[in-house]
Amino acid sequence: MKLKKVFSVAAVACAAVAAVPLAAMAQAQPTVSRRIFLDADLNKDGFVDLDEFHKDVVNGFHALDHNRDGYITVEEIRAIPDKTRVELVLKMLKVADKDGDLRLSFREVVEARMDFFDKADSNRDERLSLEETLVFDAGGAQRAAAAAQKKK
Amino acid sequence: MNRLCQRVTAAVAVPVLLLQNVAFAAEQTVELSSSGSYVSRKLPADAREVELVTQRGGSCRFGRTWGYDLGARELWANGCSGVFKITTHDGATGSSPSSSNTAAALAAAAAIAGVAVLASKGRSHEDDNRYQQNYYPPPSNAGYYPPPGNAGYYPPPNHANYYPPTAGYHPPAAGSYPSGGGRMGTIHGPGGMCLDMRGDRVVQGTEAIIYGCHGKNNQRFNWTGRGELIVNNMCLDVAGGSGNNGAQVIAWPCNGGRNQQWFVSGSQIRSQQNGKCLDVAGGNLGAGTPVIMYDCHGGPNQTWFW
Repeated sequence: MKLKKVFSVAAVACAAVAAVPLAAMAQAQPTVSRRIFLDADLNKDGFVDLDEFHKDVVNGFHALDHNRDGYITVEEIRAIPDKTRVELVLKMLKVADKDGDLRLSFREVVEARMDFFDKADSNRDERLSLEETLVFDAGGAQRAAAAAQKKK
Repeated sequence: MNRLCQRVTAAVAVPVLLLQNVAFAAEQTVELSSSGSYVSRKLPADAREVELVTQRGGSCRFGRTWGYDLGARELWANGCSGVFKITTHDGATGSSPSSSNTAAALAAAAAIAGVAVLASKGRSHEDDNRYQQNYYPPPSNAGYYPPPGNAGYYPPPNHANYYPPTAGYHPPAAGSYPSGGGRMGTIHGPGGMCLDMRGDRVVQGTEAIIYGCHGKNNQRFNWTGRGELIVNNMCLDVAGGSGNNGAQVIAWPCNGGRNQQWFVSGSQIRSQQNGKCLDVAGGNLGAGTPVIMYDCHGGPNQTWFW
């Protein structure tokens, strides 16, 4: 019983904290985008240029191509530890898999990501500012949905 | 005949490829020159990355005038001449892929899908968790679906009815959430207990609890196509439509409110008003413990099955 009381007190405390609900927590996501940006900006000049973006693409690719064969297969996509993202990437596969071999080649990934780079680079200076990154990421889910729809 | 030809070609081609690979493995830098037309050369099988070391002519910009494909093992240039360094997996230090690098995999997936433009792997697991938590953040009132620009807010795809097969990825408009339905009977919860409305009679305001399974009327739930969980002609209801953690769950006359609509996500039962989970309060699994609403955390006290 005492234990229960402790729990309900904790629940009330949590409720107070979580009253800033998830809509507001979603605003915390720019914090993640920001950190990723700072990591990607290797020379710390405040911009992610094409060379730095290239590094980002390569490292991202290798995080998924576990068997190092230069392709991200459906199996490797399914190994992504988040079901929603698995679905998103599978849908992206339909869009980006130009040769229809049910796997993403490195080149297809680069082309898809360059496309996103261009969309994010709103002032067309061939580099991403933090602001451009945050703006893109804020519309990311919608964009992913739209991109997945395009190729129907 | 064709098949035979292919086989013969393959047999001849293999040694050639092997030779090329050996040659490349020994040679870390290559030169490629293009003054306006597409040129390419083979990459070694274990190439991990190619970098531009020196630009000799044209304008070398990755993805624009030069690039490569680790799948087709090809380095290309079109309007760029330069010296390129090829790094192989064996030669790479500390950057080999690791299946345990969850954060990097998640970030890479987000970037490929266009959810985020960058995927640098400096993310900590802390970020990762936060990202997961933010992934289905319930709005307080605007219906279940994300307002434009709110990244990453989709309900879980493992909900059987979530992606209508013909509608592609776009979630249905608020109010037309595919709720499922078709499940009926006792709902088993943690500790071998069942979801139960306290007491024998289910009336307006009766509190949801867990109790030993007996399958009587106050434990029989009908999940309707609209997402309601009907028990003895009452709807399972988040009291007052509260969005707080710890909000009471009670029986209430069905009124079509969002706080009376539920969806199943894996083994979780979630409210359509904000995505929060049906939760056994405090994780205490004794008979009679209230069932409340709480942020979903994947714990056993939020696990239910029909």
